[in-house]
Amino acid sequence: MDAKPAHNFKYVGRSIPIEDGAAKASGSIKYTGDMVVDGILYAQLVFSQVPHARIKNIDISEAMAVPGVVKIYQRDNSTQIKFNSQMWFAGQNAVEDQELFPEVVRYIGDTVAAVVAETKEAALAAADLIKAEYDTLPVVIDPEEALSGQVALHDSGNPFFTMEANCGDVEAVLKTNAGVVVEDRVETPKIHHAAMENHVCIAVPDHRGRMTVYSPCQIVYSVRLIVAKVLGVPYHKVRVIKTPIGGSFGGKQEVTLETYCAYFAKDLNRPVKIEFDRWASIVATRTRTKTIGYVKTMVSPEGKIWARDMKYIVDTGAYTSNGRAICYAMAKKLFRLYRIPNQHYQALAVHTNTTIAGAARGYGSPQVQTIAEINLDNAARHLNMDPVEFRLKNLVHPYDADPSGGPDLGNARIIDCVRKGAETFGWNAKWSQPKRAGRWQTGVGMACATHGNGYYGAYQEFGTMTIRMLEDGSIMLNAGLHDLGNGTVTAMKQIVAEVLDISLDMIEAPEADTDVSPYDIGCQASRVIHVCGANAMQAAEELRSLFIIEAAKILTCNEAEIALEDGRIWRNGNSGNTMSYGQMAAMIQQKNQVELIRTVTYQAPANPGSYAANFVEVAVDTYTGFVKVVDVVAVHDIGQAINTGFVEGQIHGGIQMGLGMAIAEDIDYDEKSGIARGSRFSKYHLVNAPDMPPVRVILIEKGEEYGPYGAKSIGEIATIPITAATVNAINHALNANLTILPVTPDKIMAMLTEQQNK
Amino acid sequence: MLINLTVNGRQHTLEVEPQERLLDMLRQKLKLTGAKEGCGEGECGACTVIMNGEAVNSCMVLAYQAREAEILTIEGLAPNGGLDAVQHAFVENGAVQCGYCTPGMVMSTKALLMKNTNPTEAEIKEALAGNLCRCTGYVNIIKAVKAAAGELNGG
Amino acid sequence: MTGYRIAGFLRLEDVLREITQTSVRTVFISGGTDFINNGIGDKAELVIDLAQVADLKYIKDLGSEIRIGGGTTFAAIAASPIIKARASALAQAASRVGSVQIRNRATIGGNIASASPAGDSLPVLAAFTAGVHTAGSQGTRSLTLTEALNGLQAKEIITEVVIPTPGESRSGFVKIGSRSQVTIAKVSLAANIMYDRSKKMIIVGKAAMGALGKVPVCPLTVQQFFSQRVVDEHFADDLSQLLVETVDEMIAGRASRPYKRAAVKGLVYDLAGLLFDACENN
Repeated sequence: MDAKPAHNFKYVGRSIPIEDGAAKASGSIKYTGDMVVDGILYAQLVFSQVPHARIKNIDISEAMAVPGVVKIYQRDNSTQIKFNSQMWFAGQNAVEDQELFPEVVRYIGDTVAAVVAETKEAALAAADLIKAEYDTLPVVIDPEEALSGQVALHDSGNPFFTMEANCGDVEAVLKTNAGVVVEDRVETPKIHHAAMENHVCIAVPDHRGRMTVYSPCQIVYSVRLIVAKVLGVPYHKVRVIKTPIGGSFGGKQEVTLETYCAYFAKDLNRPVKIEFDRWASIVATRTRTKTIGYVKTMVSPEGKIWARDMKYIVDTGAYTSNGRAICYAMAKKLFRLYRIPNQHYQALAVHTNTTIAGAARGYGSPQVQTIAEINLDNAARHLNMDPVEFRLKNLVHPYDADPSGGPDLGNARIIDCVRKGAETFGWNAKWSQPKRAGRWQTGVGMACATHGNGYYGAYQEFGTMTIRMLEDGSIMLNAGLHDLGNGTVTAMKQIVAEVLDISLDMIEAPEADTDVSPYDIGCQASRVIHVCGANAMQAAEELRSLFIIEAAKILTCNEAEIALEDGRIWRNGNSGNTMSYGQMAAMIQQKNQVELIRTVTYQAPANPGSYAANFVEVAVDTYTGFVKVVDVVAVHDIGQAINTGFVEGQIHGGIQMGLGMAIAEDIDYDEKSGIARGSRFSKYHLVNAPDMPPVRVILIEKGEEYGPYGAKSIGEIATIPITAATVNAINHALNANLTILPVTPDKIMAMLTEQQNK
Repeated sequence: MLINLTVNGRQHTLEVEPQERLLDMLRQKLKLTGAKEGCGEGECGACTVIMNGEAVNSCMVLAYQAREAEILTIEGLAPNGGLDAVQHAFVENGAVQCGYCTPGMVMSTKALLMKNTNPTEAEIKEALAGNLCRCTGYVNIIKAVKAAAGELNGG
Repeated sequence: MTGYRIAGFLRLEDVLREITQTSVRTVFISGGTDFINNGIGDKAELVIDLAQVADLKYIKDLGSEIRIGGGTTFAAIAASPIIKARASALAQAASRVGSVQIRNRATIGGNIASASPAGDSLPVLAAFTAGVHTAGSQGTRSLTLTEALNGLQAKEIITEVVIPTPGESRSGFVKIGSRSQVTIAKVSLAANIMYDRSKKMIIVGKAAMGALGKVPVCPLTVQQFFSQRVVDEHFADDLSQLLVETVDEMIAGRASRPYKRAAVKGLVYDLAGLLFDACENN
């Protein structure tokens, strides 16, 4: 724990260790896979081995003979209700094209059948014996090939969705033929979230006909919605409990195993568990969208961006999932980082016979901003201008408006980020360093990014929390919290502790349980600190007011005379006679007959931008194509850190993830067979400890009006700028324009070989 | 068949299946669920335990192969759910986020420090190269290992 | 579920007695790092665990050769003063097998028996022209590495690897993977040479490339090239050229060829660094 109290805060800003750290470090915390439930059954899904086919026949005879098999599910004996696994609120307009057991399998990993058995081993053995016969259908893997519509996976056709967003008049500006036009095609890969915990779920039916779902999820109310739909029961018959989660990064945001688990548990009236292995987590849950961007940027000779025309092909895989929502989310970011008077954005969403894409840390934002930032570096290069200088001419300023009509940007401090980062990194010297011949070529790159703070401006953005002071003075914050391992619960406690001036160990803030947590739309959209944190702050403030009102009655004084500090309360001027909060709370109960409780629904009034700039130095081995990332400086405008250590932790982890997208990670589907090449960790390499660069984090903390204590989001933006910054550094090192990500050694060597042959 | 082994200082005689992995035995028979399965192929290290003084992937060892072995798991580092110096350093240095890789990371660290009380950064990274983490970028984990080594060397 | 039985012994003679007496399909497990996922156990009725057979774990320096027990782990090989001093390429290869956890279990005998093309020890053994001793129900055999990699008989154990060390040699191992550590070799290279330091001349030597096929490739052209070759400024480029030709020949038409042939130069420069610069600085 560091000793830095930011500003005059007592709890906010401090690097207090995560509250369940000891339970995690001792191995005593129980994740869903560690939970024991009496009489539980195990379900094993049977995955399609072909990328696109109509199922002709499924032979389960051998599988049924395996001792311990309870039931085998397939289309004929199961519900055929359709749903969309990313719906998170009732009445959401989303294409419902998923079923538990589709008639047509659309990717390798689609669900053909499922075995439920007394043991995991029996379920697995029986699943291996199920034989499906297929009538194969034409396959499309390449998203650009999918655009032709020759292979349609659903009635919605291919592309199944297109949208546009605009400001100014791009066409008119382009027609002037003034300035410099820089065009790029950039491709980002399908990425696996790679939470260390695989997907897992337990569903337990009870005597009242209710279903309790234990899920390491991000949105309990989304799980409830979709499970209730698949079970065909009212919402109050489903209880969803968010369990300790071994990482998510969006991978556990959508409802995947919960539907199967609950459906089997209801049908058999016994608890059921499903636990995926790594192959299934990679191939049969969700991925980041593969995204291909065509960007055309028109700049003035002085380096002002006049216009930008962008077309993004968004590959959402075999089902629609969030394929429409993500196109909107992508669009928003592109109007909120630079002052570009004329912009046109077009997204074309396609289905391919690959794993379903879905939420993934940044929700499309890393893809589109990576593409745009690579193009901007090329624009700077065409102008023969330092990319830092070029960006500084064009970046947004605090309190700019969003030209596409979104919420105002708030205290947008990206210029501070770039200035501070360039200075700390030593950009000027490194950028202008002359190239030397030799095997290792060094280069530097940078990139900027923005991300949101909740759904305000797009969807309803509110939540409810109940806070109580118990009669011993301890605090319960009851809310739909989902800690993904990033420290949400601890951060909420810090906010409450700051308001009530009480130590953290006197506060409990349990995670989401639909039976007891008020409604909240969960951990998504970088909303938790900015929206839930403000909710917690307001709830705590109202509790504090109530406490003061009631205490004033006890102490027979004015409310203004009441003093609170460090869990003790007294009447001003009478500090020799203090009481603990508990003593006072008990007296308030006895004498005033009042419970110290407040329930607060908070509606977010704003959605400012979080901002970041990353600076990267790489050394590229021109003999092998190996990229060594030597140095990273990450500067983030986060308003105010609630827990500085957690913020740094998010940035470190985000950089590990974004580096993977830049240079290593790609699920990579074979164009003919549809088989994922990167379907295991031995074939899908995450950056490990030896290859992780040192990271210097700098926080710009200049506050944000509506954030709790001025705080803005960090979790998603942390992974955005590093990818383009790294690719830009590689291209700087090699004087190249590598734009197909990840930039792996084989792509680098192919480019160098081509350069040599010229 | 029956095997004898010592786990966290306690002797056990256990009936194991020929195909059973050490990881399954620890988790299911001994209810020691600290070691996790992240990949089942020795790539992620979430299942790391110390066997006869060496870090091993317990998903890559058959339970039968642990006969007469001394096994140390995360649960055996400190009594009653307490924390030893390594675990404590992990918590205090922000090396724990979601916690799923933590038991494996801690056991790899423990195995390193049992042999090398003053490792260099390169040695730390090599010792942890077989343990994947998606949350921390390893930055605070490496910091924690250094802190633990410092602690063990008398601060 | 597979239905094999498992048995384990502490002495080689007990293993050999068991395999002579049993008539069921028998396979072996040692470190287990390949066995558990490669499906070998699926076809077996009996699995014999070699991991605790003490007399398969040794490293002996006999002067003109080094003998390594088949059950010796890569951690032990990487740490061995004998190997580091007399067959440093093998120590380097052993230290780059998988992770610490894998090296603590995986054995040199297992690396040969699994015969993965990317096995890190294999090109080193090929460059040293190592021999492989086996024992089985048919008695003992003495095999070349290639013979051992092309298939052992049923119920045959790799008991010993013999590395000839006729004189003082220099050796090195390098590989390229997609990470700097814990990575499967895309292509690897080992060499073992007799070197006259005063003349800066290789007297005789042999190199082997890994991950190009089932068996490491030891190009004859390289052996000819090494013969009485002065290590001058053209050395690395000339050697690269020869190895590129080898890659072209071995994996013509494969998708991985363009990268492997391009990356050969890096391997050669790394190897030359290990063999010469580092030594000269001592």
